[in-house]
Amino acid sequence: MSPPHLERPRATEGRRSAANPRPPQAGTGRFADLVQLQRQAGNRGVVRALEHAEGAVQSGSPGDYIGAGQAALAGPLVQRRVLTAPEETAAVAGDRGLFDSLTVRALQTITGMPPAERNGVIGPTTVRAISNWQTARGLGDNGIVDPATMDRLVTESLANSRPEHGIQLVLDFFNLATGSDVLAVRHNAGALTFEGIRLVGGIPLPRFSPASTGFESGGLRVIEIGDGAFTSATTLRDAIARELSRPAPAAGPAAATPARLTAAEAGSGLAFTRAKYSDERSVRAIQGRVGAPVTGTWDVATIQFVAEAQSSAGIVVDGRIGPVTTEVLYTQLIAANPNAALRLLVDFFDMTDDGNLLAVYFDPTVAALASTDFRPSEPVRVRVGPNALTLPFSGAVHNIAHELEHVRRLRQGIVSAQTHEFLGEALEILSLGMPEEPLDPVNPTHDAFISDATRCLQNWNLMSLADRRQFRAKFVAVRRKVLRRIAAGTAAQRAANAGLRASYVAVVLP
Amino acid sequence: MNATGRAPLTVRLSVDVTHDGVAKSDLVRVALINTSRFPVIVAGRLAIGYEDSSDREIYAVLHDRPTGEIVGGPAQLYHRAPHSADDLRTLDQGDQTSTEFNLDDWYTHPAGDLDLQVVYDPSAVAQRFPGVESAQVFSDPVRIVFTRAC
Repeated sequence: MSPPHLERPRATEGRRSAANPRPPQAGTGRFADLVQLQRQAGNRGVVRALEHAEGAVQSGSPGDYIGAGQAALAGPLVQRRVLTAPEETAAVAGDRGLFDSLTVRALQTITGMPPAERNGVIGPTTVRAISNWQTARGLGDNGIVDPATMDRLVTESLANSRPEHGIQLVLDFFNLATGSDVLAVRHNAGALTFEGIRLVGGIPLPRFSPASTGFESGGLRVIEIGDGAFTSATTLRDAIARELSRPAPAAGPAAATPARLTAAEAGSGLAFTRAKYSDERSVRAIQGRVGAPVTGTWDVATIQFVAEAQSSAGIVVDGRIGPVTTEVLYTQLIAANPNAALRLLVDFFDMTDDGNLLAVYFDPTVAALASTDFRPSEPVRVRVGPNALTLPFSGAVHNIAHELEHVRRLRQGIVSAQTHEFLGEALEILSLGMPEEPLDPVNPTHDAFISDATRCLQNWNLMSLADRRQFRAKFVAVRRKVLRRIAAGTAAQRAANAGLRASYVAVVLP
Repeated sequence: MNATGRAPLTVRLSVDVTHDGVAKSDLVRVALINTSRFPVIVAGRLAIGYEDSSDREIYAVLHDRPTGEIVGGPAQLYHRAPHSADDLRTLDQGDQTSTEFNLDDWYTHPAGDLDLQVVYDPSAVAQRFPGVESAQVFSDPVRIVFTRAC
């Protein structure tokens, strides 16, 4: 394979070379008009305009050919120019410093790179895609993401139903710090905050900002960004920055540090807990929940408060936040602090997203237990709906794990919904490192093992032969587990699930 | 189907469009109406999904009007509990139950002149709850012009 900068251009029309130099970027008179048209319509728009209005050009009536050029804009007509090798090198160097891998993948998505090429790396292919995208929009087409390019990326992210991509780009481009006390920065079309009254011509008018912040346990923020913030990158940046700077509600008066544990016990609890929870936001959520001073770091005082909470909950008092204490804290948090509770699950069970997750958050509009954007090869969101708030602990863990399996598999580019669902259910059935779900649901809106097993088989039967071959071993493991769980059920459960068992047994492996 | 051979249920859609059919919102309201003379047990949850997905009672079908081709596709991988007995409803003659969903949230679609149909498909629910009327019901197509793809 030839070095990228020596690849053949994808479109040769208008290709720049010493004999075909770059069109003028600024000027006066006819050239200034041409540049303006180029900015609006791209190089090919100029070419078409010249072709359609040759006479007008010759007679020096630029308005005519501009009009003709604009009339010619109805179709997909923008030429993709080729960056020179030095330009390409400069663009790669310039853009590499701006974005992390997740953001690059959002950028690669917005700029229309083919799914297989969205690798999260700024390289020649990516800067060429940026350049093409810039050219098509009449922007400076050097492949470098500058403020004007960012403005357009942001507005198009909203127009193309990818507002979270715009948010991610702005967070990264402007280095907005969201790691320590921000659970999510998400789009919510109508988000607004009343900012007071101002006088316009002597008339008092309410003033709103196009974003809002909700606070959860430990002062953790959930920032919602409204459509009105997506008018430019700086508008979006300012909206996010404003929300980041809002003071968290004042904590109540600090209680005296309990002394449930000896120093040695507290030290042991601290070491254990520190190893289990590494995300500062989890620390804050727990400190807020147990009434400890919210510092975002584990310390002995926090462990003493944890021990006090363990005592109140009637569980083993050791200051260690293991699965039982996590369940207690999750259950206490979930109703009023759903995003903080979700963070605990992700952190404690060490759920990974392979760098493909834009945000996981509670969304009251989601009618399902949870939902993941079905966008193979793109960074995606996971949204958790209200029905999930009443799931038992094991169900809640499985619910998030299922969605994050989608997130990882989407990154791999799996395009079949049936294969995704088979894999999500398989992960729940195998339940490695997670609490087991009961065989039957305990509530009509809940999910349970048998529902997972039923869906898993349904989706397996709908998968392509190639996918069934690829995931044959997983199916075998799933079948073994399903048969074992059914066999371990009560007589009534075995009778009720005899049909499902038979269906599993009847599967002929590919 | 009922004893007379006519489907006892009708699906009606309501979408907010201009007089030219241009979508003003992506909200789709769906009503399931008993048009027979007899009570009918229905899968009252009316949860939206896709034709080949599970744990859904309705799904949408989008056609490109000029060509008649089916267009669009699923926009979500969702996780939902099975339909429960608590959600079954008995509709008496003329009764209806309804739901709504945001089309852009659930379906990708191209820009252009499209026909939207919603299908009530309780077959999976009927397998578990034998009293449920199991026939699929298609709504009449509703024209929607989308100015942008989603």
